[in-house]
Amino acid sequence: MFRVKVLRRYDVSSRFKLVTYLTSFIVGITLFILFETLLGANPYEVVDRLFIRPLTSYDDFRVSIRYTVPIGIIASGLLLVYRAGIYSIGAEGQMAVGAVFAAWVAYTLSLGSPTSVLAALSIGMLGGIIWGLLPAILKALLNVNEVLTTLMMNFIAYSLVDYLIYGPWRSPKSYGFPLTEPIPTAFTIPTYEGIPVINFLVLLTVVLFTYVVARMSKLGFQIRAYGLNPSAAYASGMSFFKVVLLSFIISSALAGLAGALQLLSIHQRLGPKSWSVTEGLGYTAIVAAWISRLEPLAVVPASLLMGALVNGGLAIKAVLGQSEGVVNLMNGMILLSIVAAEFFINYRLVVRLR
Amino acid sequence: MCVVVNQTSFLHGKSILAKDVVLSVSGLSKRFGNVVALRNVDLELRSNEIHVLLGENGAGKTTLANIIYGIYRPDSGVIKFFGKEVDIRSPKDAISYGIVLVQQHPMLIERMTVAENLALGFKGLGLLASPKNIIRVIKEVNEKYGISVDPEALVSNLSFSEKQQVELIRALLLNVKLLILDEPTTMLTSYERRKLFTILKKLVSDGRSILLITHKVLEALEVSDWITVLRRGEVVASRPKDTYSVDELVKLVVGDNGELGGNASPSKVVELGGEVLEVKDLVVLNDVGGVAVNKVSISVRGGEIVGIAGVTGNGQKELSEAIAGLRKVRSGRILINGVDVTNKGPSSRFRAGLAYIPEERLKYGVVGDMSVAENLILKDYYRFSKFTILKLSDAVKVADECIKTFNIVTRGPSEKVKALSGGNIQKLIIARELRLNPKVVVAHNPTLGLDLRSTSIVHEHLLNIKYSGSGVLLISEDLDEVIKLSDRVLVMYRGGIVYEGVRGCSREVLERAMLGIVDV
Repeated sequence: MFRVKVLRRYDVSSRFKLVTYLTSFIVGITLFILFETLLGANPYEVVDRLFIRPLTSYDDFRVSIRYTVPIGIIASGLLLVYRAGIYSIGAEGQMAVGAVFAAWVAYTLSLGSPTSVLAALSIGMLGGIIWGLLPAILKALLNVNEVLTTLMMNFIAYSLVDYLIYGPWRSPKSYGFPLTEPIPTAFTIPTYEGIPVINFLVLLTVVLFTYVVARMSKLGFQIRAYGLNPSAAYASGMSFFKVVLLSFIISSALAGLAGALQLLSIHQRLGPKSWSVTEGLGYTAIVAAWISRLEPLAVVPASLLMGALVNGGLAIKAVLGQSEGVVNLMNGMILLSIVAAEFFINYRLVVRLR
Repeated sequence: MCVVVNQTSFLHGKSILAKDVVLSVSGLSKRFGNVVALRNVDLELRSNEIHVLLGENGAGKTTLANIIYGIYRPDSGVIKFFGKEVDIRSPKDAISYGIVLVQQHPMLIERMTVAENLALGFKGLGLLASPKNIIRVIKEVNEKYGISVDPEALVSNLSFSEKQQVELIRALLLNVKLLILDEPTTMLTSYERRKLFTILKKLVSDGRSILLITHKVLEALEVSDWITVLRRGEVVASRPKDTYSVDELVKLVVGDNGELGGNASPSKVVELGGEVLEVKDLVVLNDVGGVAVNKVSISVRGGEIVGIAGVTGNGQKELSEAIAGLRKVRSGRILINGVDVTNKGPSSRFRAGLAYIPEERLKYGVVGDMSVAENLILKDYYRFSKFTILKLSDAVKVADECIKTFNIVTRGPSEKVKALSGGNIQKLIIARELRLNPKVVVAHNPTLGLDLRSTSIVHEHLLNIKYSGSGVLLISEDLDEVIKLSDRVLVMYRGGIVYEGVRGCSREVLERAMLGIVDV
């Protein structure tokens, strides 16, 4: 008989952590490739489409970067709430509402070009904040489980978008498709050879901002104390209300910003499902945040990687004629492997023969 | 189950020789790392007897019970059950011998009924036992031992005492020979306690034996036939109950700790300042909604140490948490340095001049995964910031100073606090709290788990607070500590202050007051 014992590890070196995380990431991807193989795909082709092309071919990389930017911006915000020990999964909904608010500005105001973009982006952030505020207040005042509330808010956001594109904002010129009018050109953010350069610069600014907040600021200190030991943080006089509210506001504002940016530069109209502005990137960003180990600067490579994987996943879907779920499946497998890595970093298994 | 029955009848023939010893433990030792939990423990437990294992927290009572129940394995020593040497490797082994341990907190599934809970792990009725049969068996047991638990009630609707009785029924269904109870009365009212004792007496009159663990002297005398006193992992007395007096038993449990080091002289009197802490008619509830602190009033002035003595679980935890702002106050008022902070959070108390040295230092005192420097500025971190940016380099300077003055043994300001020893964590907390020049310090069991050297350092710091003109409220289960340091001693019993003494008052009077015996 085997006997398996779980023992706690003490003094884990950072090298061991890094190796464990990388291994877990590879395990997650391998599981996904295995799964694809079971579905009848050629594993070499899967690897090629998933990694190689999205990162090496210029044409594919241009598309990858379109996913990288929103993933990175959202992950930067999420790492703040995760550092506080709050597990928000509401970025997807906040992103969608950010796009809706930005679209509303584009359809109703007529302004000069730079001002109009700035206005749309700010209002987009405001939309994200509004969507994040309800779960934040419930958490801060009544300690309501944020996982449930933020998830529910995502579905409400989807429904809001559906209502607008099937109803009042549906374009008469869309041949019956549930799409809105393209936004006026004064509101579009230009891309260069299809690369959203401006968006990428926004991402770098956001990363620097979250680096300062998370690593150097008073708020970052409070966030970390609450995440690591809420009892001691409270006993030290830090305000739970403030930490929850501020970290939620920053993360939902950034999700709203990501939604507005995608609308103004890439999509330029709202649409359903696979044409949607969010494309599930609010969920992918969760994976990117954890891959970065909640380190702000590591968000850039993590989101480059996840952007490429999303692009590759969509390519596989198209080539193999699979369903929408492919990218989510891949996200889930990577995230589960990383969660498992957390276990192996804190514990070790000892197998003995009895 | 059959095996156990056979074994008993077989051993009964033999038991004429071994008299009626059920369990005998000899030369039992157990270490955890550097800590000796049990040293050469001998114990003999007879049939039809309630044997009380008496001792303070950390005396090794629970460790001994866990070894007998197979949760821990001893480093050395022999356990004999009905005269035969046994090797108990797990609770499953223990149960197969007929040894059952009832934990301090009942282990039941809240969403199931009593009968459903008891049907789990009960094999006496066969695989397809009908609920009716189980309910019938429970009712039989109820009747026989005077237990009154409705088998069809949902466990989540039961009181603590009823849940405990369900555990007793479970033990009886497992055909228990030796029942071990770990601190069974801590959460019971006095009525419930008496009822439990009646049931236990019926159980032993029926041929079973009971090993009851407690730290309460009066309770030991109330229920036992035989008392074994453990102190610091060693048996200091083991005799029939009638051979002890209350005073002797208290002395055996507490021990005379001798003189502790430290240069400051505790008896030096400092001119008293203004009132720095005032607690008025405070009522605080415990976690299960019972009254833990009942109309307590305390006043501490600058330049004095007020000690609160008492046996654990008489409301000290709730009192200290209420003063620190970690627990809601039912009624009454708390003033710190004249500022009413009754319904305010910890930060306003700290601004009013309160320093708090919590009992659960790892939970409330430090963030283990943060560095020494970060923990030293955990309360006044905002003073280290400019335009909301924290200047950790300044914190490191402060940390270097604190490490030197308070003699904290660490690899440096950036070492994680969880790597420090308990004594050094305590020194770190004291360093942080004193750096802020408090007007009043509330210290709850500040030397719990610390070695003698760290203890005397902590004592010296508490005295220095007094000399500096601030006040100290010292809540401690260690009577020696309270007597040594305090200018005034209050005794807390069942949520109230039952006695107030001044420096030099009789230790015996305090000890009796701690047990609720107050002679006027």
